[in-house]
Amino acid sequence: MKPLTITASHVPAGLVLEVAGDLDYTNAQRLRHAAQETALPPGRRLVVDLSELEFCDSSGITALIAVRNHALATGSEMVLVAVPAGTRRLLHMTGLDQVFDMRDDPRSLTGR
Amino acid sequence: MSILRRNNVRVTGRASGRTVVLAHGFGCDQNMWRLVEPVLAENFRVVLFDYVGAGRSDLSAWEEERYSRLDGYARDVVEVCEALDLRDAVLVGHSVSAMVGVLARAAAPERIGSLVMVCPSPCYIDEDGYRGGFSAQDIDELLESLESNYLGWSATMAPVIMGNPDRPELGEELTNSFCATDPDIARVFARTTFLSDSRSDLGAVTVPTLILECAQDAIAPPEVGAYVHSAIPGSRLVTLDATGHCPQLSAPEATASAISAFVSDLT
Amino acid sequence: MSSAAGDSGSGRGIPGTDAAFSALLEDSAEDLYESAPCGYLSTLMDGTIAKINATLLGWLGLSRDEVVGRMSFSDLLTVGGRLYHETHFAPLLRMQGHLGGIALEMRTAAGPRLPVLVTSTVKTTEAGEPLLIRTTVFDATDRRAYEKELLRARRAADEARRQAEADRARLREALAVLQQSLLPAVLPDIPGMETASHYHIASDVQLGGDFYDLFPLDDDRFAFFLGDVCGKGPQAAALTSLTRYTLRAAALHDPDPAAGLSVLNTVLLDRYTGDDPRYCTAVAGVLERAGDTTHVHLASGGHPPALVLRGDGRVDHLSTRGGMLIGALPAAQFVSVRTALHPGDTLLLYTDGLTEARVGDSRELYGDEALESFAADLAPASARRVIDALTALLHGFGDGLGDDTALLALGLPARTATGSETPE
Repeated sequence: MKPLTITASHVPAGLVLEVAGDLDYTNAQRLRHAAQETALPPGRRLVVDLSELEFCDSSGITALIAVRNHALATGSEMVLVAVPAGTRRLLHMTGLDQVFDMRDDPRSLTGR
Repeated sequence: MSILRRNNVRVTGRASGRTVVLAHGFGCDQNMWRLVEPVLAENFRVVLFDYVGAGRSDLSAWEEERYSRLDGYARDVVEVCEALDLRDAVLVGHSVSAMVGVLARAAAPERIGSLVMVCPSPCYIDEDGYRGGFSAQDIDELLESLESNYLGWSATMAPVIMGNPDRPELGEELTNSFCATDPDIARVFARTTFLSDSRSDLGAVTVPTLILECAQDAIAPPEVGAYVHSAIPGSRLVTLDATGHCPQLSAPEATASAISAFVSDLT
Repeated sequence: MSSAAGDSGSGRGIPGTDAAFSALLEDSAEDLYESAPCGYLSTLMDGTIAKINATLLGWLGLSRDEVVGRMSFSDLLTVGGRLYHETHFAPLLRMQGHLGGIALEMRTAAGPRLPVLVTSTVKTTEAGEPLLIRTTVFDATDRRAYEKELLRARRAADEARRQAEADRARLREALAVLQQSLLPAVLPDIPGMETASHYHIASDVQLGGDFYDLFPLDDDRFAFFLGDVCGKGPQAAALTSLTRYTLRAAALHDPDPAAGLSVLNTVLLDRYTGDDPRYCTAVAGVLERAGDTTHVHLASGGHPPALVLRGDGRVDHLSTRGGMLIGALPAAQFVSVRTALHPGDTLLLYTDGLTEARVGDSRELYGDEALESFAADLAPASARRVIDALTALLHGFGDGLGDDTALLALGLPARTATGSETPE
């Protein structure tokens, strides 16, 4: 078990949330709160960087959906980058690969 | 587990002699007989055991329901007799075991042919016209005493006894009798002992019976010995010149010779 | 020792020390005995008190004349203490010659009881014959009060633990009842079809969220579903209940399984709004019998693919790829697939507790491929045999099986060799 860390950093295009460690039933709420606390102006982009994500269960997927709903409601768009294989498999299985915008390379999005 | 293991049964003495089973009372285990047993062993086959819950018996065999009734202890006696296939044995019961012996004999008449009741009391509590010596409140006090001693026991007692290098067996003995007595088990035994009333069982005793009482018994007043004697037809009452409740420790020679004389008189 | 004492007397040279030391030495043994800070008494072997010090007499409020030669040690005790003395203390002292730290209570003339700690030693003759018993008595009032507090606290803790265990047992029982209420008590009899199911409960104190059902639509058709709601606990159970009744009602209204999943999607989105999305994955379907063949029409929303163990030993997996999680998105798509079961074929539905189990030393995911090859080794197999084999497999996962798992198998019995049609 790796503890969950969520790091928010502002970039010209919007906001990057780096989600690292294990995202599961016990802590998924934290990701949802982290997204809600970010007041992103309309038209900006929320990038969720999962390159350091070690584990994600169905509660973690729920949180990602909640983050996406929040982004859409505020008029911004959400992108998942560097989705690990296990999470990607879960997203495929649940048909959410058709819903989430998933990209491999974070740099082009964040302008870093 | 075999009964012999369960009840820590020990058989000594003359194999050809009549079998004498020694049953300990509340508060201790078969060690209570240590001063009497060698004398009896000269002429008789002596069987010693611990009730389940006492001494070195198998504590895992203890069940509250069974040992909340004197019947449960009587079953231990009968099962030990069966395991050794005893016939016509003499059952010597101390204190509460005197009454346990009455119940065991009724349950297995072919195995137990005569009774020795050492400081018996069929009922410890005073009740209209009967004097047992105690009130129900006194018994509660005893339970309290048990409890307060449980607290200090292991810490205080063990080193004292262990510090007796010339008698190493004492430490072991204590650890295996009082120290190891689960306070919950002791409480159940105390309650069963002191709250029982077996007066109505005495009349059914038809076998040769010896009643041994102490001249001054702090637990059973003199009326009790006389009561038991008159309730059991043909019983013999012997008053030992001893004080306390444990003549087998305070007057072992007199106790052993009274038992020997009684057993030798049996046909 | 004596030289050390001498040194300390003269060596330090402090005026007055010598005088004080001399005064100390004058503390006679007799006075020490009488006014010691503890009680002393000696009794004959029968308990009769032969000697007692002033301290103890003072504590008890008795005079020497009342006690010596007239009372025995146990007369000084409360009745309960006397019983304890006779049944424990006296026998042990006889056997061991020494006994210490026994808690007893003494009766005082004024009435109040005096809690004491008693230590006794048997003095013997040179020949080893017991002569008398020497006893020291310590006032244990404070200590006993403390011990009583300890005992009270221990009893309270024992009681609290018993209560907690009882509560936990009741909770477990309530949860088991609730969990059972989310599953059919028995599967209905379907003419010509064998059915079997298994539900593995991962935790007896945490409600799981898997569910399944099988029920008739009319004379020729049966509907079934199996799924998994997100989360655990009471919220998951509430969601399971809603999901199950919605799917059942929808199937009676419109047997198209994809339509049923859409209804469920709408219901869940409507019920769970805002930042608390609740969703499930499910596969739902209809069985329709036509002679020897049973047609299966099923739809999936985000659920692992169903497997068919064919009578000839092959395994088909019914891909419903693209079917989305139910209750997460307003425009969710559900994917349908059709197949036919012939005698000897068995349809297997399962939740991902099975494929997400961790196995082996490296705690690898069991995975879809392992399941398919397990099924291939098993095929052909009846519904009962499939469920039995998978139940054993789950059992073998041990603590690697972290989640609830539901299994449902629907099979057409193979024709026996004596049947009307002979294969091959």
